[in-house]
Amino acid sequence: MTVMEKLCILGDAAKYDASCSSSGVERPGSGRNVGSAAAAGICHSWSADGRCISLLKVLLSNECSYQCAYCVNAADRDVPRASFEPDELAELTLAFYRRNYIEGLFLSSAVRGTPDRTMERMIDVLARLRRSDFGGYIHMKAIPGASPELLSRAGRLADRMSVNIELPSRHSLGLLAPQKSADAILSPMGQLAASIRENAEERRQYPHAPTFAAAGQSTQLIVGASPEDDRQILSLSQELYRRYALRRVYYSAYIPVSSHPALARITRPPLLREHRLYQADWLLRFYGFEAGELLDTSAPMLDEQLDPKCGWALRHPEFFPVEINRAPLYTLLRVPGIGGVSARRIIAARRYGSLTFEDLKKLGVVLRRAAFFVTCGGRTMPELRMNARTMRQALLRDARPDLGPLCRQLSLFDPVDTRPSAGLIEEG
Amino acid sequence: MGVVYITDGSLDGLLTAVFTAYYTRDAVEGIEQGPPAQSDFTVRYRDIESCEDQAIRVMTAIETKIGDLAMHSVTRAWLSELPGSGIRILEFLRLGFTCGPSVMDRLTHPQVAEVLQAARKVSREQHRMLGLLRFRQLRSGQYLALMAPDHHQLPLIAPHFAGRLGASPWIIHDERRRQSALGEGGKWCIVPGKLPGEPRWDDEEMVFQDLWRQYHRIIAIGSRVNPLLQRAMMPRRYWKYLIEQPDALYRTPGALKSIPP
Repeated sequence: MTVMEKLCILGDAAKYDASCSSSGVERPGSGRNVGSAAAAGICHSWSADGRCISLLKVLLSNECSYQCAYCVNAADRDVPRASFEPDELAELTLAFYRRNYIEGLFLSSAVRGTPDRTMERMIDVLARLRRSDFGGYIHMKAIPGASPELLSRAGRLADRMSVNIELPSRHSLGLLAPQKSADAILSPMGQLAASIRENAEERRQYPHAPTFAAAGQSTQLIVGASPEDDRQILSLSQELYRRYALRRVYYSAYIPVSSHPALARITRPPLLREHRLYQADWLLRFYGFEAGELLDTSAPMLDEQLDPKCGWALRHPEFFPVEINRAPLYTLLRVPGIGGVSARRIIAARRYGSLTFEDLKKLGVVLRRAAFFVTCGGRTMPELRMNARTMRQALLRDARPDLGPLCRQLSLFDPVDTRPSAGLIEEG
Repeated sequence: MGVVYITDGSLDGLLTAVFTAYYTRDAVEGIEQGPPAQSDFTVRYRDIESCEDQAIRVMTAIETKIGDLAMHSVTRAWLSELPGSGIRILEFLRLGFTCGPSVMDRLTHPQVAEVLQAARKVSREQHRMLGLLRFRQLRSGQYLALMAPDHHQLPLIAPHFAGRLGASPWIIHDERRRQSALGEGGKWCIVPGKLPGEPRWDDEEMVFQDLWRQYHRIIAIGSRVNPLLQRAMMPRRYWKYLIEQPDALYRTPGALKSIPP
């Protein structure tokens, strides 16, 4: 089998892994060896589905002995099988890297034989790359069930490690991935978290100490294959961030590949739901929100039509309006239309004079959304009349321009009729 | 009568112009990067000869009195080559020399906003170029990359590739500005001029290009195809120099639909 054929099979088999980030570690190039890493990560291309390509994302092998119902590579499926030789893959990675196609390698694998044998082969690829002085980014997937020694060898070679949690509950995991137990997933995660923490501590004292997965660890779970709601998923993510200090939880909209009776019956992947989960995930990590604030048992799913921050703001009118010239950072961050960058710009700029709505535009605030929730010097934006209903509708239009035929395009700056019968959406 | 300074377009040229503006008390109305396409009879033109000594004095003054961050932004705003960037930088610096490092926080001040915005545009494209640049191996063993960015990126991206590409020699050629950065073993320099003749590629080069094109095609998920998103992240004007030719999918009828789910 040629390298081309293998690349086609093993790249195709790896494409459902959502992570492609090359961020989290800064390693300037020395000018002698090949490779460096940038803390912010670098995207090298975007494929037709709009996802970025930063790493060469392949499986080492798709000859799997497991039988996970949601997976295209499950043992009983009729798909072409292939495996890279370790030196073959190392050479390909270097050739792509030198041409600046990629930022490094994302190596995963089907379980070929035992978890230990699989991990050993993967480590072999990493070791070859590092031996040939490769300083680029390496993300390696840990195989659940592999021995702790192998895991710690892998962590010495890789920049980021990840263990996929796959399904958001023990129950679904038992049903759909009988060979993977929740403990086999959580125990390597715990080991990695401990080693990463120790290593960070060690490098604080000895800056040149060898690194252990310096870019931390991440995980991925499939959304929509099993019946868990958004509240369960977000609480799980929050718990993972707290307990294992994960850098990222990736959500992957389930793409129907099998007709297993326990799997959800859907025809299209729930992309919008995935998008809303990512937005909520950002709110957890950078905006000071708690999972319990965004969703509760009475409304366990995120509103697909509105982003989660707008949704929260509409449910909490008592929090608003926020005064731009006085509010502290974490209050500003709760305003729809104000993000991390613009909130910090507001705080810097307001020290030198009180800010007006005109200024906010210059600072990058999305006034179409923010205008409903803020005052500048005690005043709301001129021309803005509102009640809960018109607000939701105006925000909706902003979020979903594709709802076109239902709505009449209206600028926020047009006078708005607030009589109950004259909403923004024309009924009928 | 207002005066317009004509510089050679280099950073030294800009800094020398700033020096001259302070020491002559000219009523400066513009700092241009080269002779104007159309001369204006209401102003006087003055050629500024780049002077390294004066440039260093101005640079040190900016760094000590306004801060490294300001110098960083001024450099990028100048490399943006946007019309009027020279005079805006001068006004920004005048403000900066009066109020000190805090000028960087006065984001609603028009001169500050404009300079920082130009600098941001350049930084954004700089980051993009780090990813979108594509090297091809020449028969001589060197790696060559072509580009035509909106802003003058060579001096900004060369250090990144010098650190990364190790011992192998490389060339980045800017087709729009007819300049190249040459590097090897961590060192680099910029030389003006076109490339000499047609490049001759290494025999293996096509093999890796084919592999990459194929990989780029198969890594997309058919049920998530989203050309708008792809173009938003990677604007079309950069596609010309990409090996993967994202266009091919859109030109061939049915190709988009044939991507497996």
